Amino acid sequence: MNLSIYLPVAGSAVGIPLLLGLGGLVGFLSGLFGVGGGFLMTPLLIMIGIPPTVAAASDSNQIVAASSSGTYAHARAGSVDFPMGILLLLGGVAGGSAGVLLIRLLRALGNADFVITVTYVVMLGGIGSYMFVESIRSMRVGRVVRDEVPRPSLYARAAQALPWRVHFRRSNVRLSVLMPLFLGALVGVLAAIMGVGGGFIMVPVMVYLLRMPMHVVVGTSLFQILFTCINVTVLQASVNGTVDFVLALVLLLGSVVGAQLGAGVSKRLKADQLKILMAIIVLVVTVKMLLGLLMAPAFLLSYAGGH
Amino acid sequence: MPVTLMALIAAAAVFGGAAPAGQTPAGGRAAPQTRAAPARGGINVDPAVVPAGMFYVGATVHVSAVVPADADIAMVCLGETHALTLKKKGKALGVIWMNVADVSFEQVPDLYLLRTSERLEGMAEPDVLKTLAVGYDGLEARAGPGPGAETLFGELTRLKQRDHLWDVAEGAVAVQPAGNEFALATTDFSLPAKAPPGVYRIVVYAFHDGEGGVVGESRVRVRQAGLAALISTLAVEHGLLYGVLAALIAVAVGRARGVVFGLGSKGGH
Repeated sequence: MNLSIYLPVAGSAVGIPLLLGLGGLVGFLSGLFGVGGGFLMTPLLIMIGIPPTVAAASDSNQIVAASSSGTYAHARAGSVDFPMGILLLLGGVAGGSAGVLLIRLLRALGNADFVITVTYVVMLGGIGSYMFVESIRSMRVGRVVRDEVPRPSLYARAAQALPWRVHFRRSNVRLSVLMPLFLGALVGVLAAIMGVGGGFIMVPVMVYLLRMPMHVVVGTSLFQILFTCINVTVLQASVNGTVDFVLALVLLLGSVVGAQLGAGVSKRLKADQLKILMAIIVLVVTVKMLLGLLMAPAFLLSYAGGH
Repeated sequence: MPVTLMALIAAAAVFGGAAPAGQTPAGGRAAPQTRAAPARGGINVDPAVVPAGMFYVGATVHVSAVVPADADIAMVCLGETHALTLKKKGKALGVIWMNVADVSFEQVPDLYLLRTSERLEGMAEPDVLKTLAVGYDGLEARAGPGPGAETLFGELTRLKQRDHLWDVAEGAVAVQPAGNEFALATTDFSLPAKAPPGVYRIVVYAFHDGEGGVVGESRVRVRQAGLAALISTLAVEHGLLYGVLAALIAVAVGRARGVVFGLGSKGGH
């Protein structure tokens, strides 16, 4: 029995159960943490033989479905901070554009691949380690970070000194509008350099730097991811012709089921437990990438287009 | 009266060209006339057109050819040839493996499937095989060296072999007598799903006493069909529309999921 499907844009045939499984895994993470999962899915697709450019673009397409469903449900539940999300999105678009220009400059100088690789490992390793240590510490003292009295760190003093402070009702935080704009731009730059949606960077930024509550973080993150990935899908399809809709469709069918499982599991876990789980997954991906950098590759040549 | 290989090759081309489609002198597998490729040199290709629909996983193409008796036979399924630039991995700072340079090859076929009746090294002198591009040595001679590609043809070969786009199978051509001076050579080519849609040349070579030449040539065409063709055409010719549709359908599927699983389906917690 033929259980494979031909991907017309990718130009290859892949087993349907494999794609459903990968989609289910990403959907599970999306349901659990409110991240798009691009940082995990794109390398996995490349590993099964999908061309890197098609993998990244099609992954964005399938994330649109997962995040639209989640955004809608979170919006109805009142757990999307739209003003915060829009500011982060605006910053993200500006930062993403700057990141694309930066990559073009680095490619002209000939060391873009080095910057991309190092950025990936440093960001993943840094975020994963910080989340892991912080979550362990938070679980030990029996309280979450946002309940702690913020230490008057340089970051806290700088944040309080910024103008145009407003109250974000859903998140129940008072911040300068410059902060989500700046942090959104920073994530946008990194996301453009790394070629991912940036959800796995944005979630820690919202939790630790914007001090937003976890349940609002998930909905707002999905809101931002939705529009980022719609933008990427349309751009990639019209400019590069690298979106394989068949691939995206099979992946998102898997993700529908996975997301339900993820949502079910997340209800049984506390915020700190979720954070530590995500930290572990990010660290596992980091270690995998690190091993890939340190161990001799199976092939000394590769097709252009991936990271 | 001695008959030279070249004379036999010419005769095989005439004989094969005159043979009715669907009939083979030695009772080999017949190709339906409607599906047979336009043959030169008595080569039948079945199927001549391979439709790549939504459940395409590659295809087996059966080739039969009238060839000179007592000759060693090589059959090649050859894709389009073009320049190729790849990323070369190396150590940066002496520790980290990463892409360090571009490597260019001058003429690289998309697909190169070689089937022979005997071991290549016993069929003809290496120079003859190389001149005819029968075997990897011949491919290497055409592929480069481009800038930086001098020692990396072996790696290119491994990369292509991994995707089943290049393959050499010695002893995979069956040769059966078909009269005093001719024989029928048959083989199967496995076209991988990764072989891009397009026209592939089927070239049949004969070797005898160190000489070699082309017996004939035919074609097999892989074309996308049905929904796969529709999607591919839309993606290539109407990229913006395709992108908008892909995003809209994804949003609709996401919403449908919310309806099916209830509004509590947040995709989060």
